[in-house]
Amino acid sequence: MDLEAVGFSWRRSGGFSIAIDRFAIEKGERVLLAGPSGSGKSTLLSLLAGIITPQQGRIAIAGTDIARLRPSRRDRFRAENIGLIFQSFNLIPYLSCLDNILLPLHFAPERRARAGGTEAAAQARTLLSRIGLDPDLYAGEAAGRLSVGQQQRVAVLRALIGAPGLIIADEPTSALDRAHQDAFVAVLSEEIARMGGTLLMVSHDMSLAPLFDRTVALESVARVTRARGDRAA
Amino acid sequence: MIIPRLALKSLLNRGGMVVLTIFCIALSVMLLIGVDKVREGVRSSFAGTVSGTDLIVGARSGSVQLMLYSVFRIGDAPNNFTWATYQELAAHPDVAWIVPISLGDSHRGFRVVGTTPDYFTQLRFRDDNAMRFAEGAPFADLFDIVLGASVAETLGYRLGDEIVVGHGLGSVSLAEHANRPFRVSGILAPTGTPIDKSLHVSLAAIEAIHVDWESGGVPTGPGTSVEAIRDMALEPRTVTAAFLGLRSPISTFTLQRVINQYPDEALSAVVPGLALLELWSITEIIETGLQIVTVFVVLTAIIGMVATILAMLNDRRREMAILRAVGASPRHIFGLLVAEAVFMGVCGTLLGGLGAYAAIALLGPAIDRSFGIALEIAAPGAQEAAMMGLVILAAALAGLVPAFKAYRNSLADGVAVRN
Ligand SMILES: Nc1ncnc2c1ncn2[C@@H]1O[C@H](COP(=O)(O)OP(=O)(O)OP(=O)(O)O)[C@@H](O)[C@H]1O
Ligand SMILES: [Mg+2]
Repeated sequence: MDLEAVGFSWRRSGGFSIAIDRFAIEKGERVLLAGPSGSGKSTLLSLLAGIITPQQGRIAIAGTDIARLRPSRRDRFRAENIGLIFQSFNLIPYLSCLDNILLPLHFAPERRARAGGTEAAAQARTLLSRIGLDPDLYAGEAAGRLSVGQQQRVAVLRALIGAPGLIIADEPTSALDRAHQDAFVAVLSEEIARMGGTLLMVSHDMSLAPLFDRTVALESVARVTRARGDRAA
Repeated sequence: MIIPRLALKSLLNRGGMVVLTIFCIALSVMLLIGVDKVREGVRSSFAGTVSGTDLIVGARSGSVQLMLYSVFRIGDAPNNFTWATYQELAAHPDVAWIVPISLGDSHRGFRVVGTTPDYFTQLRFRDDNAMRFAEGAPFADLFDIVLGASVAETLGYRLGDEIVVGHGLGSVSLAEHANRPFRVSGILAPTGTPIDKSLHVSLAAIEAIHVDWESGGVPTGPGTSVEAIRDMALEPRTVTAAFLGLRSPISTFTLQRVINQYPDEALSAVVPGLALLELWSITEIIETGLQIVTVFVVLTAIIGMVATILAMLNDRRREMAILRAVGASPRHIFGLLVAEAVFMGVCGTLLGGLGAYAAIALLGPAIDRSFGIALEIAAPGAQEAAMMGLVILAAALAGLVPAFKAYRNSLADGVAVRN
């Protein structure tokens, strides 16, 4: 993963813009991204995931410059190669746990094949039991009925199913209490180790730093400007 | 495809709001189809009231007016025409049969029709059905009376009952001749036409009712006795209208012209089918008005649906962000919202269609009995299919509005949705 001379500014906000000269992560690396609130961490993750596109620059993921892809190709690329985890409310409440885990496969045929094709559901059930959720009880349960901690762990499975190369997580532990944070991090580390993917995670919690290969402060890679006084989120 | 499945599950999950929205659309579609069915029913019932008659003759008036008072017993005749003229018509070589009616009297709000026994055999209704006697027989005696089905049912009359017929059309006749009662000789089976709401007597009986009324004022004194009346020569002097059957339909227009130019008296002859067309051209304005109203009701329901979807949209920004995160494109999001609108449109429309047919099946017989309007429950024709298709199309088009909004949102939102 490699960013070069990237420039982006939000259209609808008070002129927040972010510029990154160079930011690269090696394949298989685990990186913790830190920075004060409103400094643009989530913006950077959105750029990397291809949910938003930079006005200039190159964002290469596994050798593909996603900034240059047509929007539909970019969405497909994300579906195939990136697993995303948010801070909270990761799951679609009206779908079952199983359907939530399998959701990205509907937009990514290759990833579906990697997940075992028609066996994907069986694989998802195995994964559920590995994170401590009995598939017989939880596979068909509406996601909205799970506890927040359980939902976050299911979100990990969704990000990891079909082994996308890059996992991006935006403060996935901040909505959890200490015990659940530990359970979450354990599941995440274990599954990523098994899959051998790259991890970029944003967190305010520096106590997690030892679990990562390195910690990057946003200020050290990105320059942020606010044209008019911005109301930081 | 995952998008329609998501749309369906999302709707099922949203419960109440969605059910209400679908219900609104269903009601509006029910109204749309119902109004159309009633319109069709009214037309075919009206048309069915004069089946088999080639010409209707009355004193000079507009053809619609003549139709209304002679067939539907709505309004009054401007004039009667003479018995001599009637007999001349009856003797015309092109005429196969002729049935006179003499109107102007009533019994407790129902019209009394003076006619000949041919009335019961010649006149046809609804697809050429002949009248049938539920009980009894046509009038034979001067004071015999034959009741339409609704008259007998509403007033509780049986065969052999005695009835007093009043002069004039008021619901309560002030001048009833209690000393000249009629006896019920027959009761007709229901026809679903104004015949059901009529009482039938002979032409001579109409004259009998009017003995002592010749001066125009209310008669004073004891009046002529029944025996004296029976001895009178009760030759009818006038009739209100006549129904004509011709030997050959080819002569219809020739005879019509002859009658319209009748030298001794100002007459009008109308072809029932053509007069009905003229009537439709008048009622069309009302029908169109009614249809416009129902179309607006449907539009209101669809706008309600759009409002519901839009209102839910803000709460669903998260959901959209999740879908984007797992690889859905803004176009998928667009499709999801359109699919939801289409699902609601389809459910509402089908439910409304079913509701309309259920209502017709349930209420149809009662409507037929009280208004003489037969609503048919034929399988939905091209007309209904087209209407329902249009409603669904309208729902889909309306769904573009929230879909476009969600599309724009999903382009503007990053991974961290800010509310
Ligand atoms: N969807 C958006 N539309 C417009 N402006 C946005 C959007 N998302 C973020 N911004 C702006 O970008 C700036 C950076 O926000 P961002 O969410 O990237 O910060 P952050 O570092 O993730 O903060 P936090 O630690 O609070 O999550 C903010 O000033 C915000 O106003
Ligand atoms: Mg953030």
